[in-house]
Amino acid sequence: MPGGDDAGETVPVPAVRPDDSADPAGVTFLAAALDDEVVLLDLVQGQLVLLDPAAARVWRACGAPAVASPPSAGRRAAGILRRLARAHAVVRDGDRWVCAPVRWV
Amino acid sequence: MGVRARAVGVTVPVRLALGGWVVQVSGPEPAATTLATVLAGLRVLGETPPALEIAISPDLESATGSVEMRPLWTIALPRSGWLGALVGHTIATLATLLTRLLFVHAGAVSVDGRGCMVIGESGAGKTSLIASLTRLGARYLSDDLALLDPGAGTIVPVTVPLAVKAWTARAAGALPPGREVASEGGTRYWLPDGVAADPVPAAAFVFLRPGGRVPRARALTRAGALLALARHTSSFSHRHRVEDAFTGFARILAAAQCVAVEGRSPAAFAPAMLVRLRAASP
Repeated sequence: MPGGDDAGETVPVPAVRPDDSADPAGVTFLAAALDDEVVLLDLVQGQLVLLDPAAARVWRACGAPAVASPPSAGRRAAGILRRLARAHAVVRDGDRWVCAPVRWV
Repeated sequence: MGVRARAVGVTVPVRLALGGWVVQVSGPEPAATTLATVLAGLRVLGETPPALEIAISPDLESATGSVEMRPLWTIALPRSGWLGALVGHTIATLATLLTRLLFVHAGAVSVDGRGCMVIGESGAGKTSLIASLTRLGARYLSDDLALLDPGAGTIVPVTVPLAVKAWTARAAGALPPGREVASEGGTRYWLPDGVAADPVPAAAFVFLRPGGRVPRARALTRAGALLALARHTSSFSHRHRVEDAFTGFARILAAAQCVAVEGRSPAAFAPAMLVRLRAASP
């Protein structure tokens, strides 16, 4: 949803690794937490993705190994997960969603 | 120093030592000297980027910028506005050479020792707002290019004169105390008195946006500000700087106040902005 200030807003930037190569640690995203929002830098697709507080909570939960059942319930969470999947920030792993490999800055 | 006619004169070399940066200009007089005069106040401290050589053609039709004998750019010079084109390319070159620092197409001032960046597209009112803030007591840091040190969290001065166009002067009202160092193509190059010599902590990011007659401010989230920087001309624009930009800007923004000012004449917001910035001082 480019152009607005809504959650899920994306801004294109030059792709750091346009050949789809991950770094030695397999990282394809950088993440910065700013207050209760998170901004992701997609190194392969070349874009910033803004996660509003609700989306940031869902996305963080997908990265928590202790969560046996990630927040797949609820229409809002499902919508957020679909949006995160379109942005390649989460991927399907069996019956759960997990974060793409990320490094916090 | 007014240079209003197209110069066709004897080519002269001018060597400028701008702190740790050497710029050599060769071209017809008075063009070469005028460019040197506009750049003379710049001080690149703590950095030693490679020397830049600017060769202006004898007929003032084009110019080439080279680093270490390698041409970086060649531009056609407009009949009116050639000085602005040369200054712009020189400063843009500096931004690309200083790879430790991040850059933003922005102006900046220091208020009570705290840095405030003013970010907006060309024509958004950056220069008039910077001029107004400086006239009201802020110290001048830069007009069109802001450099940030991500390690120190500071704004580094880029003390090239304000480029004051006719509409800028109308919007700003009186210019701050200072002196005109050159004039060309309807632009006055105005160097305010008492420019900040040292870096200052980056405390505020002000984004200029279109709006109504009366400017108004609204808070911007830090994450929204990071995306706004990526949308703007900045270190995010260069592929090899994207990771540095993301990491550095995020760290600096984490301790900064972020505001969007919407309106046709942001200079009118200068008094309120000063109050706001001073109220946020620790």
